[in-house]
Amino acid sequence: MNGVSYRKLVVVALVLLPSFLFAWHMNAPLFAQLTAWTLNHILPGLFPDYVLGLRAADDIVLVSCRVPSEQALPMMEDRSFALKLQLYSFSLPLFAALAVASEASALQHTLRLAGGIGAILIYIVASGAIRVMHILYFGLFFPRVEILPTSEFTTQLIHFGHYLTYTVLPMALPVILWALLYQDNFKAIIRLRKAADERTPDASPPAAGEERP
Amino acid sequence: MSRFLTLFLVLLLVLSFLGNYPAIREVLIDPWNEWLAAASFWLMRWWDAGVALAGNVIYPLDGGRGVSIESGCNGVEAIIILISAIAAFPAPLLPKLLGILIGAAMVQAFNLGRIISLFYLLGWNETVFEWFHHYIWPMLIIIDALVVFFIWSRLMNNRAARPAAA
Repeated sequence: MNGVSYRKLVVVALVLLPSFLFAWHMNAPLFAQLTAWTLNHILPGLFPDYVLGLRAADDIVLVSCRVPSEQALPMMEDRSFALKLQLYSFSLPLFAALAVASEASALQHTLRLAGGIGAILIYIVASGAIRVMHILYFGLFFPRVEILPTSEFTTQLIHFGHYLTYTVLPMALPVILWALLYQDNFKAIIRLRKAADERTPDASPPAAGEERP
Repeated sequence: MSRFLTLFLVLLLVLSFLGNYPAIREVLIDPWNEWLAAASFWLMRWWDAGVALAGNVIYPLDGGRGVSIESGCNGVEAIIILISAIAAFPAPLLPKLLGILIGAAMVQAFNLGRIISLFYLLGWNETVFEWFHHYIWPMLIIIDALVVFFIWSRLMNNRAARPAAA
């Protein structure tokens, strides 16, 4: 693995990225179906008074919910809103491009890709759930619903959860998963030494067989 | 490796929380968004007299739609990821600080290109704008941050190997 070059990794990943973006875009309805089906088994159970159900419509997920009526406030009315999960799921093509650009055997690639894609799918479901909670709790499209007891803590928690899943993780997750699943490539590129050497990096000699810069 | 990854994840969470905390947003992030808009506007004025600036919004004077610099468009998230990676890496403090400063500057230089390109893409084709805004530029910016980290980590290793090689 000492021969792993970050230039090769980045160039190959950039070359592969358009193909993976295309594949991801073409499969968006499939991901929407899968996510809607999973969330439909979770959210109506968690918030039975407010979330009625979820279903996929092409590449979006439609959420049906029961919220306070804007015309007659004590009354409730059924409304729906759309979730565009592609906004959360662009981690998939980037992770796939980084993974395929790395060095591993065919079997290792298959297992690691499956693990990474599985983790990203779980993240998409979690971020979809947090987005629904965010919309209902803050009343973004209609009067707010008290899905959780209102307090400074829950407000900050939902706000932070949404920021993390909507803004930070779509960018960070492919790199984190790649670094975790392709540790051999990652370590060879950044030439991370063992824990014992980490405390005194200036004094540590290069490991046996380590490529000298 | 596990120490590096654990530290990286903890720092990522803490810095993300701080970056989203209302008081910090008010004092640092919102002014930063306005500064980015002003810097982009200043650059664009070199070749385009038909643009105007209002707070964090750059808009065309011909009445077309403008771009607003918000969270997610300001490069702060890529910098948070870069800071977490550099801070988690075993290296002395000064090179870490230098790496963070130079790396953040490189990410922001890239981000200025992103904002300017998005402004013109919006005026040209909304579908292409959406793609670049939501998917392509965020990927390119995280790849930019990753390359900065790779180069910095190699420099750190070269530095650490020097006394042993002498």
